[in-house]
Parts: sequence; structure tokens; C-alpha cells
Amino acid sequence: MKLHKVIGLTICLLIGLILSSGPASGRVYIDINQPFVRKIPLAAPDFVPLKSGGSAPVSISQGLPQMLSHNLDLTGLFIVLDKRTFLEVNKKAGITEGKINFKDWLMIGSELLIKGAYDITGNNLTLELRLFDVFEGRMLLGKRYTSVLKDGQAMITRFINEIMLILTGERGVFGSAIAFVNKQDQNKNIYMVKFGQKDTIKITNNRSLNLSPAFSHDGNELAYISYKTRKPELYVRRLSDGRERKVSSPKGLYISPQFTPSGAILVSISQSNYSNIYLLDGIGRIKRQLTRLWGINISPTISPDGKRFAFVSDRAGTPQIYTASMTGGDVSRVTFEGEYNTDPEWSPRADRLVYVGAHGGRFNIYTIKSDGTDRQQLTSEEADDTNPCWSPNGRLIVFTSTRLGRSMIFTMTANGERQRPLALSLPGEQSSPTWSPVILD
Amino acid sequence: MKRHGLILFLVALLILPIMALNFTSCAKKAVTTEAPGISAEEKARQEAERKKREQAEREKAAAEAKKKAEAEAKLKEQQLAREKAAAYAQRALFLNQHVHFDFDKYTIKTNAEIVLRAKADYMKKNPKIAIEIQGHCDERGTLDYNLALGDRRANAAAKYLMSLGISQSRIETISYGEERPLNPGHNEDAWAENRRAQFLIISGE
Repeated sequence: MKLHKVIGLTICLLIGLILSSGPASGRVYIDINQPFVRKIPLAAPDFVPLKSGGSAPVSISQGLPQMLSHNLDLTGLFIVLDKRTFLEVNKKAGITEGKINFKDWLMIGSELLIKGAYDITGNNLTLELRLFDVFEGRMLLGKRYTSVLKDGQAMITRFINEIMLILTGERGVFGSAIAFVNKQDQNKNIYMVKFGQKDTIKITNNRSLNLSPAFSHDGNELAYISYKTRKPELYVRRLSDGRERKVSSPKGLYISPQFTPSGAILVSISQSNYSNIYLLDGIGRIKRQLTRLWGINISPTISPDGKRFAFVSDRAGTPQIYTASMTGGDVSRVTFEGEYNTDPEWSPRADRLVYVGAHGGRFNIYTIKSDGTDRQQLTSEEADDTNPCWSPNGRLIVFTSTRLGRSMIFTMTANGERQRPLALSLPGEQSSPTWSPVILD
Repeated sequence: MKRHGLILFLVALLILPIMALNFTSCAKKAVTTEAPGISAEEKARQEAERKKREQAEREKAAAEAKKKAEAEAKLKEQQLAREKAAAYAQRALFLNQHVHFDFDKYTIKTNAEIVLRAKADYMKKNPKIAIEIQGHCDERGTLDYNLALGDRRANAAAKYLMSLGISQSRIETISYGEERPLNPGHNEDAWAENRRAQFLIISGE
């Protein structure tokens, strides 16, 4: 909450400074007393050729600005204006201050303008991208990227992170990795996608079940459960070269692995009488047993300061969320409302947990403070929303939803706005998303 | 007169067969007396005929014995088939009759106890088999919790079998959570069908 205010203030200051000599000076952009940030209207028209006579496929000239707009919309900080309302008709309008009639943009209520120009030479793409303050008629950010053609999406996500840094004082999380499970023909395999981009990478490739992916804190390793040798085992895979090791040495069924910041693994091991939570070292030796109870104890998630963990237990008869110290003591119950509260994940930047709660047979996503107060319902669709996971900066939440008729990955802001499906070019049904903790430079 | 006639008739009845006997014996005599006269060829023919006859008799006896054996074998086969069918039916029941659970529960219900007793009986009748109990959930709820719930269900069923005297060494458990529904539907009937412990024979057959 506190950080939220700081960022709100940062935007206010930045825009305030920019606009101090402008016509709307003194206008309050962001009311820091409101929990919801005022959204800034923004326009991103089609890209134009850098050199006269240059041309590009529609996927570049229109596809990339569309992707830029869509991604900025996901942050919940902007109102992205509809392209059909744009007044700028001047074919000669360029991407520099002198060649933009800012009145065209002021008239439609746009406060920020993003202009882009492309050049394609052989297999190389150059993008020049600029962010303008419309009132000021001034450039806030300008970047030029050159790479192979297929890197167009990556250039856009990099530029968005720069925009976020300029406007909020905090880099965006676009381009950071999200791992998820894709189901096809009864098999489940793990894939990765960079947030804000479309292309997916297949991580596991076998005809069995591969479940519960979890990133290490440096983002270099992925823990997951696989049934590939029939019996489910816990594996850790190094993403750079695909080398993996089996980590499950004590006998039992491994459920819901999570890395700690130091590279240890919190995991629930299910044996004949109970599923309890253990702390394993990187090669699967038990360092500590954290819960000692009959019944189900699963889904551990560590607090940002590493002192406590939250988990799910059915010790009270129904699955509820609890927290405990990292020695397993000082257990306190977090959720009391509802008969079914599972899948907690501790925010990386605030004392809040995101989790799944069931009400009336429907599963929705909630957040709550770790002391059990200030419960907020974020989704309320007539569908099942599950597996929530925070973005590395805690501003967004990725989750699974069946609201469009099949299981898909969605994102939303930390307060439940902008619930949108990830645009994936992948057949099948997706679930169990997990966000890499690494924020890219 | 009448009586006289009757006596005559009776005498005739007695005499006639005696005469006939005499006549045949005379004929036989005639043959034996003629014996030195038959050719070696004829003798060989007669011998061959005799052998053929004996052969035919042997074959007939063998065929009858074979038929009898076949009938017995068939009966035995039918018996075996019946036993096999019964065993197959029991095996099919073992594999296809599941233990069902209430939503979010892993306690063994009363009607599930009957099913589990039948499983234990089958395992006692087939003492070499080892089994895997798979725990399953319906599609509702979260994946991780359902994996744990499925494992608890498999273990609850395993423990019940152990309480009936089945050795722990013959039972393995695994959870598939909500990953392997029997019924792909999205309604209470499908969910009830999918919340189950399912039994698999993994060795000893």
C-alpha cells in the first residue's frame, strides 16, 4: 500500500513537472488518497516508415503499436484510446516534435502519445520509439532498437519497461518469463512465454503429466513435478541448457514446490498418514520438517522477508490458509470466510496474500493481509479462477480462468482490474501459471 | 382228435430244430472235409478280411474312446471356461468397481466399505498380486489441493485394505488429482463418478 502511494506520487510529480508550464498546470493527475490510480489517456498510432518510401508488413506497422497499446492497458495505469477516434490525418506527420500537431491528440483527450517508426533492411528491423507529453508537446523518452525482424515484440516490451520507469519510477515486468502448463491429448507439458509477447517455448516434452512449475529466485531454474517415469517425482531443470536433476529422494508424493530465496525448496510430501511441508536443500535432502500434522498441509509460499511462510491445511476440517514461522512454530490462521481457501501466494512487495476462495461452488481470486484482515475479492466471474501468482513487482497477478469456455491464462492488476487473457499462439488448455521473480534490466 | 393234433404239433416243434441242427453240422463237416482243397490265395484273402475286421473293430473302439475323451475334455474345458469367466468377472469387478468419496472428503463411506471388503477378498484369493490404488478428484478446486486430496483418498482405501489383513507391501498408492476424470462432464453426476479410488493390478498375474 505504501509503495503504491510512492508510485502514485512519482507519476504525479513527473507529470506535474512536465505540465507545470502547460495549460493544465495545477491539475491533479493522481489522487494519492485513492486506492485506485487515475488512469492516463494514451494514444499509440500506427508506425510509419523511418525513410521515405519505406514499407513494412501490417504485422509491424499496425501489429506492433497494437501490441504496445494492449500491453500498456494491462498495467491498469492508462486508458488506451481507440485508434478509430484519432484525428491525425496528415500523412506527413512524423515522429519528432516538429512534425506532430499535438492539437490533433489534445482534441481527443490524449495526454500521452507514443510514436514509432520502422526500417527494414534485409532481415534487420530498426524501431525508433518515442513517448511524448501531449500538453507539453515534449518528448519524454526516445529509443532506437535494431535487431533481427523477429525481435520486434521484444523491442516493444523493452520500450514499455522504459516507459514504466519514466512514468512510475519503477521498471515494468514486460518480457519477464511466465511458465505454465499446457494440456493437449491428456498430456500436460510445461511452456514458457515472455510477458507481453506471443511466442511460447516448450520446456518439457513427454507424453505424461508435468505439473506445478516454480522458478528459482534468480530465474535460472524451474522446479516441477513430472509423472514421466509413471511415479510422480520432483525435478529441477536449468533453463539455460535444459539439464535437470531429480530432487525427490524421501519416499512420497511431492506436491506444490516453491524455491526459497536461498535456493532451498519448500515442498509438501504426501505419505500414508499426512501431507506435510518440508524444506529440502537443492539436491533433495530434508533440512527441516515445517508442519507435523495429520491431514493435508500443502502449497507453501514464503514471505518477502523470508521469516514466515503461508500454506494450506485442512486441520480445521476444510482447507484454509495459515502462516507459520520458518521453524514451523507460531501458526496463525489467515482465512475464516468460506469452506475452501487454497493456493496462497505471498506478494513480493506487500504484506498481502493472493489466494483462491470458493463461494457457491465457484472459485474466485481474493487478496488478504497476512493477519487475516482487509479481504478483497478480485474476480467474480461465473467460472473458475484459480492458481494466482504475483508478477515480480507485485503490481499484476497471473491466474487461470475458465470464463471463456476453456482453461486459459489471464492477467489482472493487483486490485483486480484489466482481467485479460494472455495472447498465446498455442493450441490446448493452459493452467498453473507462475511468474519468474526476475525483473529484467 | 383235437388233442392228438396238438401233440403232433409240439413234437414237430421239438424235432424240427434238431433236424436243422443236424443239417448244419452235416454242412460244417462237408466244409472241413473240403478244407485241404482251398487255395493259399483264398486263405490269404480270408486272413486279410479277418485282419481288416479286427482293424475296423479296433478303430471303432479307439474312435469311441476318443469321442469319450473329447467329451470329457470339452466338459472340463467348459468347466475351466466357466471358472475363467468367473475369475475374469471378479477381476473386472476388482478393476472397475471404484470407491467413491464426497466432495473435499477422504473418509471411507459405508457403501465403500462393501466395495473394499470385496477388494480384500479378491486379494486373498489371488495372493500373488500387488496393486496400485489411484486417488482421483473431480475437476472443481485447485490442482495442488486436488493432488493432495487424491493421495489422501488412495491412502484411506489402502489403510482400509490393510485393516482387513492385506499386507502393506502389496499396495502402492498414487494420486492423479483432477487429471484423469472417468466422466468428462461438468455436472454433479460426473463429479460424483470422478471422485474415486481406482484399483490397478501391477504384478503377480
